[in-house]
Amino acid sequence: MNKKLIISILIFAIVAIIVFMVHDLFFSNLEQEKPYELKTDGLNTYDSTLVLYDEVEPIQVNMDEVRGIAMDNEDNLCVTGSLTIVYEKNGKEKLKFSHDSVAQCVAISDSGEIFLGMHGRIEVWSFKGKLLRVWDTENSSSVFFGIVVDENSVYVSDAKEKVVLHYDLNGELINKIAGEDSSKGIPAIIIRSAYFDIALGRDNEIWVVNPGMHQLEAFDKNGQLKSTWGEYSNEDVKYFCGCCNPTHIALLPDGKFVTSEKAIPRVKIYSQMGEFVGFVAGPDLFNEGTKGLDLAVDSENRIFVLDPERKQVRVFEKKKDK
Amino acid sequence: MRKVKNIAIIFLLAIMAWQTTDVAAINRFPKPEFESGHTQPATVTPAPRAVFMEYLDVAVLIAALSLITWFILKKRSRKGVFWMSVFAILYFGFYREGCICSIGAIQNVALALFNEGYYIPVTAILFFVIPILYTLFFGRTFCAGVCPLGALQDIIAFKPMPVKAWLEKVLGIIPYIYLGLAVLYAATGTDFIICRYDPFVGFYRLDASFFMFVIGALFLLIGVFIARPYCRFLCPYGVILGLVSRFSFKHMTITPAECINCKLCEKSCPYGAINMPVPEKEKEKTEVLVKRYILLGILVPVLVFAGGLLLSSFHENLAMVNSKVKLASEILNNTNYGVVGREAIEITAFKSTGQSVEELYSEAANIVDQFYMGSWFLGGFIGLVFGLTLIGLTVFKFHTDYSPNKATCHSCARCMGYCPVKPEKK
Repeated sequence: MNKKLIISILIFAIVAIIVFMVHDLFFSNLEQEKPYELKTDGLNTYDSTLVLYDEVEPIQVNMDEVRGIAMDNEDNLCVTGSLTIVYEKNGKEKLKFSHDSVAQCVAISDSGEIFLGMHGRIEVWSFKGKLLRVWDTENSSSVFFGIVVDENSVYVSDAKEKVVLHYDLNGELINKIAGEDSSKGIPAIIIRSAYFDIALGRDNEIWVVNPGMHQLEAFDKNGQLKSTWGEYSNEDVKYFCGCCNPTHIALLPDGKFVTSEKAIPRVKIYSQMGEFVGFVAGPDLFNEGTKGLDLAVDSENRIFVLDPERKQVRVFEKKKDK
Repeated sequence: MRKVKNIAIIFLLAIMAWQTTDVAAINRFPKPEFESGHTQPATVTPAPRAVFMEYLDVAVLIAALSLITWFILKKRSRKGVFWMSVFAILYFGFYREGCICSIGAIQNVALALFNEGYYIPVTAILFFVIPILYTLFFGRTFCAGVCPLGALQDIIAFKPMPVKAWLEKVLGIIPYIYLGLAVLYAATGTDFIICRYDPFVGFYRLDASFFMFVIGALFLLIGVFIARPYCRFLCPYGVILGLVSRFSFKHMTITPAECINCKLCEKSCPYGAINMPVPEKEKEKTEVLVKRYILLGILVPVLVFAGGLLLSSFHENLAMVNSKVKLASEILNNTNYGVVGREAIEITAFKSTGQSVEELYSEAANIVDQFYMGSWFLGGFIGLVFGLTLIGLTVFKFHTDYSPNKATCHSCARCMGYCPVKPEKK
């Protein structure tokens, strides 16, 4: 090939590069290119044989804002938000009381006391709807997202401080769990939106969601890390997707995990080792954009999913053939 | 050959291993304990680059500039320049990942000059100023083999071919426009376009968009035949260094002593940056010369004004690159970034800030005003470049021997090897 032709081609290539750069600078925005946009089309479809549960009649909740649910040891379901309502096992309303502000999370102790996590404080109510105690926490701007109770302790997750507060039943702070510890090189939990749920394990370990890491972490009462599992994938339904999932967790009596996610609203079951088992509910069962699917489990392994969009508690029973 | 290949592979693996350290550092959890008693090392979170390390970069820059200047001016060694280029690729390229860089520092300086709220790092100023100072004294020794972009292109110029002088002149105007745009966008806080379109930083970081990888690869491919295409036809810092180099006190020379016009170096420069001897022309009539210079004297201000007027009428188009102006325009015209069926992400994000639309419009209007002024300056600058280029073409430059063109010579020292003249012994 003669030199003139080579030079002409190369000069044309240089000019083409410059034209591409000018086009990219001035015109590419018009095409709304989103190179980092989460592509969720594939995640909305899933293998129906992986669905292990059937939905039964939901409980319609009559309140303006629904935020959290909890189950007591007699399978009474407590729903909280702008009000707090307790339903019997058959779905009949048993107790209803109002409070000054919206509660984000709820737990019921074995003695029947109802613990509500509010903005910057925790309220303790009797099972007759009487306010017993108010715990003003050390940080008035704390955002309490998850609360669990055992026979001696109350654990509350604070999404603002990115730590789990461990109280005794009288509201005395015992210690803080899952917080940042620079001396051990442990960074803070990554919370990109205010979802930071906790659950109690079978051995009284505290399971804490680290949504930014797409993981669940187990701690003992002293704050010692015991175990961890969870992986991220925007493609494989076996893992947690998006920026920060799961949003909520619960444990079945046999130790299996129930998880719910946002962005792709779905509820899944994982084994005690953190291996994907199947779906409770896929994204097709929820309205688009549904988030805040709080979870509870009763003694019969039924799974209760709070659906804030429809203001329902959706109830799922295990399929007989699964 | 095999040895060189092995070294190259080991080096590449070392670079890749270096990249993995950041990933390992974000582990949150204690690593598993081993029955063998092996204890895992503690997780380390990488700290920001220490201040002394930043000054180490400046020290390395000065040392590299001094050394390459010594190689060029004293030792007249092309080999020295080559190995300095390799060092620049390794240190400023792969180790420092193309940042901090003197070319990009133009934008830091421009932003600092026009934006009081921007704190410019001292090292950015030093990286901008030091090569200019060296150029003022010794010519473009920075371009020769200290700039990681230039160094990479220089060592792959395996089969350079000459480009016609007129084409070189025409394409040579592009870096001026690029410089003007880069300053305009940096000064208005819009974007650092030099960094955005740096074609080689993706190689150095082993991370770039497909678009930039293709552009970088194309530049390298073109660079095999047309030496240093980025330096010659795009580099905005080269514009500044080229201007300063015209006045350099001690520029490199092709011959160590008097040129004997042997013509051996004539085709040695891959950049066409050698002034060749020209026969003396018959002197033009004074009347013709006066007429021409009066005409050019009128033409240059006209070009400056016309350039300013022309570009200022496109200032809104130029301002559309600014994300705030773009957002205001999309909301005002209800065009939703061309998205149908849902609200554009940018608009959703803006709404979530709680800022009022009126505030956004007000801020966008201020930016557009800045662009109006800036586009007058940019247009005037481009007009001036055209005017001065025209003058340059009409001025007869008389040369009696072979000498480097101080403005366009990259001081690569290739031509020196072709010169048979031996240095005079003192």
